[in-house]
Amino acid sequence: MSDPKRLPKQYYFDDGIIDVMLNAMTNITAELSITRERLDTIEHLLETDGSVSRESIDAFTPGPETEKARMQARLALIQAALDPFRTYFAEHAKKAD
Amino acid sequence: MTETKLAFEPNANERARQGFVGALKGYTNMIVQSELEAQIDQDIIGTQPDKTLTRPDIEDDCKNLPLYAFWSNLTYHSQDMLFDSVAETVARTKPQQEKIAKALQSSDTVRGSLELDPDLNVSPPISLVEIHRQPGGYVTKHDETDLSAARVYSGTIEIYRNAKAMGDGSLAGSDAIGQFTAATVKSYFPDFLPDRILDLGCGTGEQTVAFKRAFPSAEVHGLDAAGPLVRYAHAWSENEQLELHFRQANAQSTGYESESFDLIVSHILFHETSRQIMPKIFKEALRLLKPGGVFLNLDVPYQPAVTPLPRQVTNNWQVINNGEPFWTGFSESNLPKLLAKAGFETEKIFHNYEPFGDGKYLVFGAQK
Repeated sequence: MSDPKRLPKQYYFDDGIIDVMLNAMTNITAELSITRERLDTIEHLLETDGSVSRESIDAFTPGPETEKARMQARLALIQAALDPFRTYFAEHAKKAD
Repeated sequence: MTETKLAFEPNANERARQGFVGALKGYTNMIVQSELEAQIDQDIIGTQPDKTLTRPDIEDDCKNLPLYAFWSNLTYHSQDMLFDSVAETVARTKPQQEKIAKALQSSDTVRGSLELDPDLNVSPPISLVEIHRQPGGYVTKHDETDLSAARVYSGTIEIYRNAKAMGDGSLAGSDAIGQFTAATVKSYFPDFLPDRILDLGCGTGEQTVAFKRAFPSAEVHGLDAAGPLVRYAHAWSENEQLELHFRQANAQSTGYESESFDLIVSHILFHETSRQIMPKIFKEALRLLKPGGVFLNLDVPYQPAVTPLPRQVTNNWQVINNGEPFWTGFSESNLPKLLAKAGFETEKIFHNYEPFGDGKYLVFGAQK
């Protein structure tokens, strides 16, 4: 049996470069979010253990409070990066009426 | 890191990436989609107050909204990111996890059973499209021990559900949906104690195990067309130290004896099933049930009668763009009528919405 068919990549704006740039912006925001969480882990470990290693960073599991704060920080970062686009596109439709 | 158990265990960076994807999907589903649906309501539906509109009447106008393109872009890209982020964990832990699965399935203490059919002619859409756009779908395997398709599904499904207000905050491997279905069975049929239970389209088996926990004395079976998934399901039930029996077969042609099950359930199976196959599965369920037996299914609650028009548009986007080929077809099917046509008695058919987490599910079926 052959594998299921891969659908072609979809673009949603008339000029597909806007899709590409939005994807790039989203990817960069993801990388920043991951880096910030790693930095937060390092700060936690330095506060509690006084030292860090790659192993201790990878093994760190955030407690409920830290995880809750991280969830809020992720959303805040996403909103900082993407809300200007959302606002522009929402208002652009109104201006076009 | 657990060395002897099957588990989805992202490291710190992978967890951060998966957490980001969950937040991005939440932002897209809750904030952007809400604003888009409000705009469709006001600027497209609201400007035609004299017309009785249906989804096809407004779909093209919606596509002209810049916010629609923005929401589409984020929904599409976040789905790619979801699979990429989970696949990273699955690939890193593949040797260790497949070694554990092999040990669980070849152990002298193996509890349940597994029947594979490598020559099975898998029905569409499973065989034709990448459901949910999961790369390779659910049937692709790289070798006989490859569990990646199942493990990617397991790693992604709760992130997806929770970001769509269809979950309860559970993590990968949770049986919360199965527990919910089992509790619904007990609530609808308080004195019902099934001896043999079948979970149709059991996938990874993570929900099937809930029935062994809810009805410990019952013999519990799971069936799925996808070999990699049903193989994982067996390993997972052994991992959970429960005796369950799994079979690779199509749900419309299971191969079990007539009147051999007291309870047949399914979880989000029928919205992945074509309109041609769905009635055949209903007939097969009727054949398999003992008199008085129960057929109870949980699925997406997107029927037009309970779904505002803008949401019907965004739901239908998933059909065209996101590997949900039969989502709209299922939602627009008259399920009680199809169940009756399959032979279930009209007065014994049920079709309800039941709350779960922040959302609700459709519960439908019949007693034989």
